Amino acid sequence: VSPPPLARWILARLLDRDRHEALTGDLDELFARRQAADPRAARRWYWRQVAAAIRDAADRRRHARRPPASGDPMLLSFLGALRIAARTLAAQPAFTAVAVVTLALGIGANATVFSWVNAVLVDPLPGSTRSGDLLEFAFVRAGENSRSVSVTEYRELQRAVPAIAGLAARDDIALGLAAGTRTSRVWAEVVSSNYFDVLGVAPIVGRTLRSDDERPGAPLVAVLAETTWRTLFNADPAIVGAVVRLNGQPATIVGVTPRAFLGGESGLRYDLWVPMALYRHLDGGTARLEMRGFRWLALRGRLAADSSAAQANAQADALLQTWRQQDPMYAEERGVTFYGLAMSDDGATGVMRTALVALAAVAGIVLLIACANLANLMLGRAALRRREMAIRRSLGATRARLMTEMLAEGLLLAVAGGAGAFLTLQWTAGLLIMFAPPSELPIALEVGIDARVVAFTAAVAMGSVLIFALLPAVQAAASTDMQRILRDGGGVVSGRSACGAGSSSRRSRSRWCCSSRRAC
Amino acid sequence: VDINGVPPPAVLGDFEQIVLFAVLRLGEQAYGAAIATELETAGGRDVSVSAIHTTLDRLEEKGLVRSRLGEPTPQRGGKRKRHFEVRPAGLRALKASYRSIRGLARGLEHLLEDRS
Repeated sequence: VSPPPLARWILARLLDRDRHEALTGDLDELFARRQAADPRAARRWYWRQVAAAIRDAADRRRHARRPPASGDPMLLSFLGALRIAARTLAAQPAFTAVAVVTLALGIGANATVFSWVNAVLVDPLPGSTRSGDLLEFAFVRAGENSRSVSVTEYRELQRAVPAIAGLAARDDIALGLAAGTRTSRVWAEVVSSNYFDVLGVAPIVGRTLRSDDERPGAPLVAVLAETTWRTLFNADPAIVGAVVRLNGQPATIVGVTPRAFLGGESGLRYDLWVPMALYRHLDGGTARLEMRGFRWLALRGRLAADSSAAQANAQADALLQTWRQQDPMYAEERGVTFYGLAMSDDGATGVMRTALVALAAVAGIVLLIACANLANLMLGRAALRRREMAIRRSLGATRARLMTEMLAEGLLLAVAGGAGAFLTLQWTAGLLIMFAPPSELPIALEVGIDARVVAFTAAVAMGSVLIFALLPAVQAAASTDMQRILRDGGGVVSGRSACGAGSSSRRSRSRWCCSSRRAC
Repeated sequence: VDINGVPPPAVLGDFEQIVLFAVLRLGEQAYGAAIATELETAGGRDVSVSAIHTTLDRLEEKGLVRSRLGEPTPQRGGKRKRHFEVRPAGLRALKASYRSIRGLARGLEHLLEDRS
């Protein structure tokens, strides 16, 4: 009679091939001998052996999963320092809570302002390609600059300024959009046919505009925003070719832009885009398209490769000289200039730039104050722990080791503070809308928390460690005269015996630090 | 490593000691089932065969024993035996264990020896 089949099956599942062969061979041999004496006892014995094998296999697996610490000794000792720092901080919840909240406020203020700066100034036109690189154009005047140009001026600038690779023109208009039986008031951007190419926006359905659309006699077309397509047209997949009426004029929908793209003016959201040729279809509109003095367009340009804004300005200036010779109306233009969209006086950038710069400065100061306070707290703690440090030094802990531990505490606090800041950011980022002036324009100030904001928050948190933790760490580890410190008892030994002894004031201080029991 | 470049003998656990003793005693015939029988008859201990293998695996990792697979035998259902052999480092470790036990037992023989 052979051993219980179920037991053998378990062993086969449990063990690798070599181990299985040697072990079951031994078990079979011993089983055969016991079987001869007492079959029932032999079976019981076999099952006990299988149970032991299961236990051993489980042990082996546990050890395999948690291999002995191996790797870079620097890293290992830093991980050890982090573990000790975590224990120390957990043992001092009051200090830790104060420190984390202080840091969360300081870092949170900076992260919030940065998320706003990021939304308004770094990426003023979300959904378009590298909108921070886009340039706007203005005439320089005695009072304030004027960014409006006429169609004629726009065309001539396009030709005369090769330093600008793509120059698009835009304006906005409120239109009545009639689709089926329903009429809605929509905000439209009136744009040159190269507008989407210059901004770098690709359609998600159909096409955007092309030069044909501006040809005299061309039928009126329109490109929908994703939101409009969804809300007014139910995200109809067969939207391309549909005919709607814009202020009574029939217009064919040719495409839909991505959801992230809102339009060509920062802080505003447009519902659809129509080519400048729209005005041919509206009463009295042709004057806009033909008169040199009818200035209504704002320009968006992108520099050609290897060109600078200075070159663009020089080329535009040469054009202005020509205009001056031809037309007395250019007498009041002192010059022309291309500048980054973030410097525009219109849109969200114009409304908020000054406020954001001021806020950024304030947030920076708040963080500095928070770090200074925290550095004070850390120094106080370091003073209390001088004796502990001295003992550990005398037991062989290196100065670098003690500094690493102090810095690890700072690092943990900063990570926790940064995480707290990031949580508050989810709410505070949206507060930007409070800066928007009352307006009938379709304001859209959605602040995204993108990789840049996350990276900034992390960088601020790490930078704060250097401010609030480095000096205390250096100071604590540098305590030189160990003998004197140990004799005078400058500080409190961490550990139960020292905590129990001494005057009541000593005891109250020790309660602060006695929990930081640690091994050298 | 001492002054002659010889590493100090490994410290053995209780079960490691008796398994090493059994392997030494059995010589050429040291394989799982034989070791289990030896421990049962000479050592008076009923042990699991798996524990013996696990311990020998560990001792082999430490360089105290070496093992080789033998020929398949019919009474084992054609399965091969895994033979073990004590290496010099293992012998040194066992000597050190034995020395320390003997040292500790010196003068206590009247308590430890069974006179019955």
